[in-house]
Amino acid sequence: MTLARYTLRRLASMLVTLWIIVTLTFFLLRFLPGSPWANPMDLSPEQVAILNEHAGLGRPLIEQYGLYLRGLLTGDLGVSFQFRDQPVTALLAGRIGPSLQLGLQAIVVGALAGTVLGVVAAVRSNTWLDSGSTVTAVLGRSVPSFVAAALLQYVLAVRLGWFPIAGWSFFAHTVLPTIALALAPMADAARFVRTEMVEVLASDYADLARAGGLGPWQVAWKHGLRNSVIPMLTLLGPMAVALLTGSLVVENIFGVPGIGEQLVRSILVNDYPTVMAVTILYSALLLVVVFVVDVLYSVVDPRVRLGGGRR
Amino acid sequence: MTPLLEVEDLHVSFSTDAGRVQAVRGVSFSLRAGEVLAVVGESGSGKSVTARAIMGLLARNGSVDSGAVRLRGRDLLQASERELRRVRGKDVSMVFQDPMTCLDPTMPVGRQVMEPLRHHTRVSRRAARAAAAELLARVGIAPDRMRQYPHQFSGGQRQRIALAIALVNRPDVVLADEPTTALDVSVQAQILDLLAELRRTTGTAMVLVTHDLGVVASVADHVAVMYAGRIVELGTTREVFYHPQHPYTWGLLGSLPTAQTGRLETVPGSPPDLLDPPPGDAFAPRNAYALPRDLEEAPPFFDVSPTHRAATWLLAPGAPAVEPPADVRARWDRWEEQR
Repeated sequence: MTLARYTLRRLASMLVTLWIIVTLTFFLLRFLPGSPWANPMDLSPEQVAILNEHAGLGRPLIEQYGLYLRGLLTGDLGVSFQFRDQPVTALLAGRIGPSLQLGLQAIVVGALAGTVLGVVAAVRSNTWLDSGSTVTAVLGRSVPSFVAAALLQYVLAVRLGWFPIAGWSFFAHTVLPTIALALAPMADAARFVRTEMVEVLASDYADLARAGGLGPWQVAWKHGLRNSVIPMLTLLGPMAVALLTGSLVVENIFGVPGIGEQLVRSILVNDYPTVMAVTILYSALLLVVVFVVDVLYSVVDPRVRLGGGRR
Repeated sequence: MTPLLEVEDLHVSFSTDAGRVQAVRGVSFSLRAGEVLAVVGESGSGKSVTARAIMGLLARNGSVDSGAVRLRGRDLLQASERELRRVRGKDVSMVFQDPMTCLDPTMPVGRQVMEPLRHHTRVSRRAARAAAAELLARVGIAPDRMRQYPHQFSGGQRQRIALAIALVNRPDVVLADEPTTALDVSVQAQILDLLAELRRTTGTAMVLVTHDLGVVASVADHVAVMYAGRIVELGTTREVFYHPQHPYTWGLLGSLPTAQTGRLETVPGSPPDLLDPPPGDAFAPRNAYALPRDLEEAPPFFDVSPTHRAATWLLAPGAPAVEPPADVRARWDRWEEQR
């Protein structure tokens, strides 16, 4: 199977998955008690009827579903119920940037820092460097991101004044939330890489490299890294999801105008189109991440390279 | 002529939960340039450990307790780790037992062959590539497969690649740790032929660790028979095969299948516990020919010829003459005829 055909097949299955998610979310939302107009506003039944008519909620559910799917195909995600006549796409477009940037920065920083910690711990296993790295990893994993966020904010922003406390205008604003979000992935990566690296360093090919005259760090760099990072790629998927969902609190603490906060508010007020859109967005992101991870796999590990390619 | 590699009274032990395992208990041998020495013995006799100790590549819980490993007169055991790294892969290199696991699965084989070369000498990538291609061709791997990965090669081919890696810096000595054990019998023969040929063409000396006496006969000049961490007999291949003196060597030779073999002979019993090695000849408890003294006092080496010695009290002056097993008697008769 060539890479092109493989990609096509994967894309097809991704679309089917996405469709199932859309369908489930659509009906689940409608079966939730409450309506978009129920909460704060004291509306007369006539007003509700008009609003329903306007939003298309008066039609049979199946017809609404069909309309929604048709809109989806043309990129129309509907209009938000919260903000007057604001298309959901525009609403989210304004908010996705910060979330995406934070998430990416946190993954990159976390994966890199974790890899370094893990490699050091493995090459110097059972020394104080190993213990130090393990302690760092355990702290990173067990301290909730909002606690870390508050601590960072207090020490680095309030006391030392190195970074702005909150807001979202300059790159400096992104530093503290990135660190807060990167701690957990860093810890996961460190633990993972250490385990893998210890195993790789005990392998025959590491011995062969040493027999060729390479020192411990050279063995780790030239042979260990690639072989121990492969399994970590699998981790990237769950990491991305954790960041997407976990960034909500951190976004709030640092006043980041991201998507997480928007989602919760929309769920509370039954803003169907917005909730749907965010769900679709998250799902699509996750599917893409998983797909990219699989492709990366085949780049890093030649054994996974799909047969038929270069021989 | 000073020997190229000289191992003197090497002691290696491993610390385990149960105590210190004395894996190598006083091994001495020497190797001249271009020679092949086979180190033969059953699993656990310390032969692989000896090879690894020479390279300074013991497992973490292992340590060299005493002895010397001299390469061209320089004691490698006294060398710093840094100095050792300059020796490894350059003056002394190693081939491992299992070709399926000894190559990096994520690196093209050509680069793996180039690695020791580029590590030790300042050569351009191009020159290194050319050298690797030439070497691979010599071990029978088409150079256009340099970009392929280990999983695209068979076990025999991978062992050829491992050989190329070991030879790329034209080392003085190659330590081959059971290089044919993990291979099919037909492929074993190919690799042995290749070893013999490479030895002829490159003049590299070799320590060939194996448990297979059949492997030895075709390649080695000298044979050291190891048992329980010690060499019990050392001689030229002809001497060890046709004039063996130590009862353990008799047992090993007797367990070689031959055309006449009906039921395969085995050496009864099992090797001693090296946590607490017995005082005398470690083989004595399994040895039908053991003298009372063998059980109490470790025998020294007795010279049979200038090139042949064995550690058994049977060779001591005044020891009772012992009639060896029939197959060994037949070997001795051949030996007498050919003198």
